[in-house]
Amino acid sequence: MPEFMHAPVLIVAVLLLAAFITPLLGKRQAATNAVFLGAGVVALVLSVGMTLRVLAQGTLSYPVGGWPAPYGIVVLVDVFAAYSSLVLATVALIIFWFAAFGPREVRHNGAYFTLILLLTAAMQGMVMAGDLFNLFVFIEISSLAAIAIIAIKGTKESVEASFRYLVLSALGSGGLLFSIALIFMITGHLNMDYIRTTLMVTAEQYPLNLLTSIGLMVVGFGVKAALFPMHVWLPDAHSNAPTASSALLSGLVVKVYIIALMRIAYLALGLEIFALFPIRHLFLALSTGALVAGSVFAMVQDNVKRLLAFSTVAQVGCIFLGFGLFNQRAIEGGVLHILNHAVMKSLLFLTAGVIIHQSGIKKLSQFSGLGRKMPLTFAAFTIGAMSMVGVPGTAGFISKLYLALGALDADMLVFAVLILISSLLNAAYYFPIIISAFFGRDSDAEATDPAFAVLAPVAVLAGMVFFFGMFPSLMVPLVRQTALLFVR
Amino acid sequence: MVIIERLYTNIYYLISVVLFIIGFHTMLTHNNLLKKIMGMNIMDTSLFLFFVSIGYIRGGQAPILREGVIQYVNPVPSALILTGIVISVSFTAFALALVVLLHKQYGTIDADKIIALRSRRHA
Repeated sequence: MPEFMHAPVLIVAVLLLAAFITPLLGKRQAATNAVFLGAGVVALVLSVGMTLRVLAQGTLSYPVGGWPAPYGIVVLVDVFAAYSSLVLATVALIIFWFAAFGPREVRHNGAYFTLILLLTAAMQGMVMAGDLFNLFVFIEISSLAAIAIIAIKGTKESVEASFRYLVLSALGSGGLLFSIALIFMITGHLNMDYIRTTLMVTAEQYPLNLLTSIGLMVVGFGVKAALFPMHVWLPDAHSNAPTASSALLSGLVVKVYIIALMRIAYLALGLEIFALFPIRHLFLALSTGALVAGSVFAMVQDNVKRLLAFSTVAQVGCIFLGFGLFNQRAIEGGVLHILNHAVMKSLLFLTAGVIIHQSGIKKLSQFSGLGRKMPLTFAAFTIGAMSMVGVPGTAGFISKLYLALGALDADMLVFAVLILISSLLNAAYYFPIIISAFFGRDSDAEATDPAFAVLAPVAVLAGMVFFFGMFPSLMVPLVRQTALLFVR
Repeated sequence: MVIIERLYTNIYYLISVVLFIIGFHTMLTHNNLLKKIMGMNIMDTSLFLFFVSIGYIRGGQAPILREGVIQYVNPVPSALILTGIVISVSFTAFALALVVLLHKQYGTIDADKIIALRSRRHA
């Protein structure tokens, strides 16, 4: 099957090309939407084809421009990259759909779509990069675009939040570049495969370099992925962004950095580093903090989008927990949670955006009775919330189950209990919203369900929550092989 | 003497790490947004110095094949740093644009005052 040979670069190229076309179309709304959505569809098709190819023929290594490995840049698509690319392409396309037909929150849709496309292209490039510097460039593009899609809303709060995000993101980038420099110093390579083979020889000679490098890397990616306690920028940034941006940022952007970090761990550094340095314990400790603190902070929020943002902090902890426990089922759970959380958090952010747009109400304390006025929107919100809590039959249940089983496999009962507690905490802050919306006293707010075109992407996401909850086996081959990359 | 010699051979690394810390510190502790951006630039520059000095060899020549030259400087880090500079410039430009916007909206570029103004609006 030579068809999807060039898919890894084509996905990025198509999205980038579309990013440069959309602003040229000016006020032609239909054409802008067509280019925007067309690029998303093409990326999804390429991603599906690439995934099938990787499943059939194994890892796809693509030398860009035909230059072979140590000199040229290599794009390395293994099962993890294919899975991540598929998740990105699918969820991003649905968010594109919402951005094109949902309520308008930014003045120039052409410019907004450019930034979204740039962000998606960079994320796709990031999960497939086989070269540290190439990875770094994609990280920087995605950071800039992620900041810009917050600031484009233009309100006082969003500009302030995006500046804070910029400062911390730049700190993270500095740490990452430093750590790449330290690795380059002791290996002389930037290609991940070559780094791994060289490190087998030089790692023992330069343990300090490696330790510093790993520390800076975890901090750098931790800041960008909002790993507790480096999450301080996230609540403001995600809650003040336009709706589609919030969904993209919370659903996909934070996870891409986790994927990049784990790919560096097994591709470039080799799994031995997990034995040499206490990375796992760090992940376990920080994710425990994230799960508890994120949920507790979420409980005291009165702004619906801030609540969702804090919930993201907790769920990022969940994904790190899977990698911290580090056994087959826990990693499967963590990897599945990347997909499931992307679906359910996008769903929640999009419905929250619709609710705010239709009713003008941001505060949870005023949601009372709104559910009866806009039943479809709140039904979608309920589905997302149920999945966050982990009600059986929804996607969230599957990944939490796998994480809990992984905790038992690792003989760490305490983390299984932690997952249970976090689910209970989720229930404690999601269910009161739903109960008051459907059964609370009527408020005098005027609100109706929006047009079908706005709700369609939300409905698709809600369907996906159930689909992945009922048929998790669809993703099993990818997830199982991904876990095998870590636990050989 | 050994320490001085080691300092001398690693002087570029030392200076870049010191610059990195200065930049890092400026970025996190200064309230003036412009100073934060300056800190970001100092940090980036220190990393460029670090990267370039990895490839530098004392007495090494520019990597152009000529007769009579034995030692060449590694060109890879310098090439990477070109990209790094472009990234740093775009970050700076974008950050400055945000500062202009913030100044328009809040009338100040002091981080503490901006936060105070924001929370007053909320209350």
